[in-house]
Amino acid sequence: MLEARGLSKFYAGIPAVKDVNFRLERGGVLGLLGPNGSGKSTTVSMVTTLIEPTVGQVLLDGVSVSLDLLGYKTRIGYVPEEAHLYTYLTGPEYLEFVGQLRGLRQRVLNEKIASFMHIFNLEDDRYAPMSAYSKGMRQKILISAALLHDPEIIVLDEPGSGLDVTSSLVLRSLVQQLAAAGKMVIYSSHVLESVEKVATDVLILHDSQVVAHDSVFRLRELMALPSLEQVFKKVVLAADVDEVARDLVGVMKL
Amino acid sequence: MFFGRLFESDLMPAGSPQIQLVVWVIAFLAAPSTLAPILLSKKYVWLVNDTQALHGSMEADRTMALMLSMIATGLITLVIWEGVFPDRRDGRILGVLPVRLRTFVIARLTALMALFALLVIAMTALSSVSFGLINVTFAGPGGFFSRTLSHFAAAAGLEASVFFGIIALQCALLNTVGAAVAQRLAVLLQVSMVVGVLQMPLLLPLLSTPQVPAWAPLIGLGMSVTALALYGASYRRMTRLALEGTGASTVRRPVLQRLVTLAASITAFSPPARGVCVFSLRTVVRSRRHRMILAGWVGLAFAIIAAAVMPLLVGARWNELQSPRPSLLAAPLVFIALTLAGMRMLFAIPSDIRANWTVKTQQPVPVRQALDGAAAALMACAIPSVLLAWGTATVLWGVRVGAIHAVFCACLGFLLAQVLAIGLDKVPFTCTYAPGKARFVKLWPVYLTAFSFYTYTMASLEAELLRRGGIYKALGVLIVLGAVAAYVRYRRAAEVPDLRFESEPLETLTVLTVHS
Repeated sequence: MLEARGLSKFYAGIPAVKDVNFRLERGGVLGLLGPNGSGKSTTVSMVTTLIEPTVGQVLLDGVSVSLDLLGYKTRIGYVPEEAHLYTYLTGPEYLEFVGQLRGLRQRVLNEKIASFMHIFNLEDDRYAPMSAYSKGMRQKILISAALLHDPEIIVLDEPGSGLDVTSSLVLRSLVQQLAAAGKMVIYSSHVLESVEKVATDVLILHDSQVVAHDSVFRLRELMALPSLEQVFKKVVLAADVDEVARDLVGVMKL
Repeated sequence: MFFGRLFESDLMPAGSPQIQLVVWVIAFLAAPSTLAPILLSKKYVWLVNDTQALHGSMEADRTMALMLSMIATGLITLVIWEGVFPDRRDGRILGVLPVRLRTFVIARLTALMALFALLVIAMTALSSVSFGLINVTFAGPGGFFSRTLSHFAAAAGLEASVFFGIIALQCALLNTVGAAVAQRLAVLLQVSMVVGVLQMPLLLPLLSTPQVPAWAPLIGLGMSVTALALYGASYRRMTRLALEGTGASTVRRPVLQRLVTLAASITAFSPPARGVCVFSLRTVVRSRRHRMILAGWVGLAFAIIAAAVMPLLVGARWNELQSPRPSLLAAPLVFIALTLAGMRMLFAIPSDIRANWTVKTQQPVPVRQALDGAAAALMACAIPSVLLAWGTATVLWGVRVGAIHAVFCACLGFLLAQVLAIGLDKVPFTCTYAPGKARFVKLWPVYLTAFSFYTYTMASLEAELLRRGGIYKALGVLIVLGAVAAYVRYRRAAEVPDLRFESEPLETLTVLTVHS
């Protein structure tokens, strides 16, 4: 079980995230929702140990991950929000680098890389540097890299960014199948519909704080609302979206 | 805007305001040319009574100034290489604006001309006046204007030849061979240019001829016109190529791939070590910034070796090639020393630093394996020099000496790679870089002594032992020394608890990277 206890991060006294708590069982999918700047990526960065929490800790099976950071990292697969890659490498070269860092044997690695490239329809681009890849293609490489070593915990930060419709549907099914295989999945996204479809639990952040945390079903039931989108609007959105859009058109016509 | 874009290069420090960079570059270039005549005047005081020696010395210094200004211009042109032509960003942002192509071409050419004018003023105008004044002061009254103008015309002409020559070559290459081949040739071309620019001292005899002030401006003018015409004519094509991308990148490069993989499989053993080794070699080969800096080190090695070998070749002193002389035996050692030193320095310069999360989240256990990979990359860089030494020595001095020389160089290469990797606690190119940490200014006498010992002293020792016997004992000693260095490096690496990714304390940097 993956658990976050009182995770907080402050930058020069300014909170980026305050007091995030959650528990994620094997086979569970935690959906992270929130507007821009709400603290989603900071939370994800703390869970992946990319940044150290100012207060609080992450525990795996009841043991603080800080006691064996490297061991914890071997059990995580991570797709970051922004596809920063070594763009002068080709897709297979990048995957090979990641696989070798993970200590995978070359024969197994080659087989996995070839399969990922085939499944994601990237075979024609296997000799092209990733600088020539589209955002969606890079995202496919990142997803492949996260799954390369069969991790227990998979952290997906906006994984659908740039993906075409088919790939997005594949991704949604992939998350469900990973959960069915007993993996713990953290799924951070702006796409409410995706989160609603795949997540067992949802954690909504707003202004660096958790404003709602429960199962999708219970959140809808508690707030007597038909969809997660309505729940999100109620707990997060302060302004009327139609009014904001009208203001934008008004400015354009000045 | 286009003037600023000229300085947006991989080789320039990131994040600095453009105007600051421009001022920095001007100050950097102007300082030596302004100070040199003042410093040289002390020397002329001593020669003032010997007219012939004074004139000879002044001519030699003038020639040296011309050569230095050409080298500086060449290096600056290579730095701005990326900003000269429109890239994809320009195409996408500017292409949709309702502005005629001609306007963009004129704006870019104006920016290029402005930069060239700035270079000429910074590097040439002040030094020309200084040389004119020195001439009046030490070589007798009169001739100030003529000497000043003569030096200015020669220097500006030569600088124009280099500046516009490189741009013309770049234009011609992109337009004639197509994007795919051009991209592949660009690697070779850029490296050759750095090497070529550093070989400019070979032009000293040509520059010292009295006709230089006459022909230099003509060549410079011709080259400028050619480059500007080519540039204007090919702008539309360049923009299209930038927007469409090039097909070059999809071409498989099996030979290079296999060489890199082979080098890694020889020098690295665990998968993480092989991964880091291959990653390091690929970064150096493909990252323009790293490639150019390494080319500088290789160019320096070429220059040092050329200084020793060229007199033999030019003078057709073939008999001196028949026995293993220190100057010849030292050649591969010079290459190894400077290539490995350059590589070690490059390790500290990040590449795509925001992509270092890849290594942060996927550190091998134990992390020592990653550090073994860095040492393996250094060793791999010594392999070409060892092979070259083997081939050359076999052809010149026979199979036995060829084999001994190769083993001697390999042992020294291994030893240096291990020594340079001692204390390394990061995967190359993945740690942030804080300028000003280099200790070269303080320790250059130590480095110079070490370099001299590693190359010429060791080559002299090898030559002596080859002649008198005892070379096998020396090889044994080198192998033991290499093993000791490898053990020390291994132990130090094993003590590293976690890889380093920040060259500054974390708190000072994370404040700037807050995001959600």
